[in-house]
Amino acid sequence: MESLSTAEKGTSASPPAPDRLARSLPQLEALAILLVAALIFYLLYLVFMAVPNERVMGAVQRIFYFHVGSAIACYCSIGAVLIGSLAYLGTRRRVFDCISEAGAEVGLLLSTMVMLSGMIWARPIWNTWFHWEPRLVSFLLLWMIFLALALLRRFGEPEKIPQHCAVLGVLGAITVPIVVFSIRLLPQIAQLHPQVIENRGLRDPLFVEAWAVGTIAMVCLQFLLVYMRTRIGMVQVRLMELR
Amino acid sequence: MEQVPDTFPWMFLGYAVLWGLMVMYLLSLGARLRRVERDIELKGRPRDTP
Repeated sequence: MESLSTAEKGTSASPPAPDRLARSLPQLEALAILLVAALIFYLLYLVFMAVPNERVMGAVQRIFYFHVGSAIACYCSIGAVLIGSLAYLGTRRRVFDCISEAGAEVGLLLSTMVMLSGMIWARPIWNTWFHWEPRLVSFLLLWMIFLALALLRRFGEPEKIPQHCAVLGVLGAITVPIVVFSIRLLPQIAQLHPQVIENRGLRDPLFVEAWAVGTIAMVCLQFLLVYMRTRIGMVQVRLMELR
Repeated sequence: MEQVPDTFPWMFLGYAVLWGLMVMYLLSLGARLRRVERDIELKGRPRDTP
């Protein structure tokens, strides 16, 4: 009991919670940043120093490792949006809204990266920036959902933003299975987007290693960004409540 | 002998866009963090009495 009362006294004398949250960077957080940085440097080494040139496409094929990794990380972001939205609708706790907001923001970044890198890759290989086929159109729809979430956060009715975003986030998450399975809607001959993994797999073991490292690195980076953005969002919420 | 197409400029452009976007986002996160820290400092500072 004595120790508890001492702890309570200590808590009351310590700086306010937002102050502590914003200023202290736990060792675990620093370790996560180092881990992600190491993974990305290793990926860059693999992509630019180890992996051989692809026979048909040449150097531009090296976009693949970040393009696919970012796409999978983007699906994880919409996962964060879905979990945050459902939890917010169930409990009405602001922390879940912050997770949903962070997932949507990071998802918008990653989906933009996927769209732009895909377009730049497509231009020399398909001789077009964009093609109206199931995979590209469904991914464009996912990007628009992330954009809609960002616009709703910016211009929505302040009191209803969390509810509206949560509902849109849950509905938007339905798009992901459509994007993933869209490639099977039409036969390979009818679409430009390749079915590399499903059909032949990657030929060189170094291609597989770079692809796996790229996916792990981008997913870890996504989790780190969502975590950091959630923390900033939580501090902002507490500051708003203090005003 | 097969000729591998020279697509290096497209690869360079692709990576420039990818990392440009990532750096811009990290900078915006840093700016928001600084703004929040400034707000916290303003909150903690005692108000001047007229």
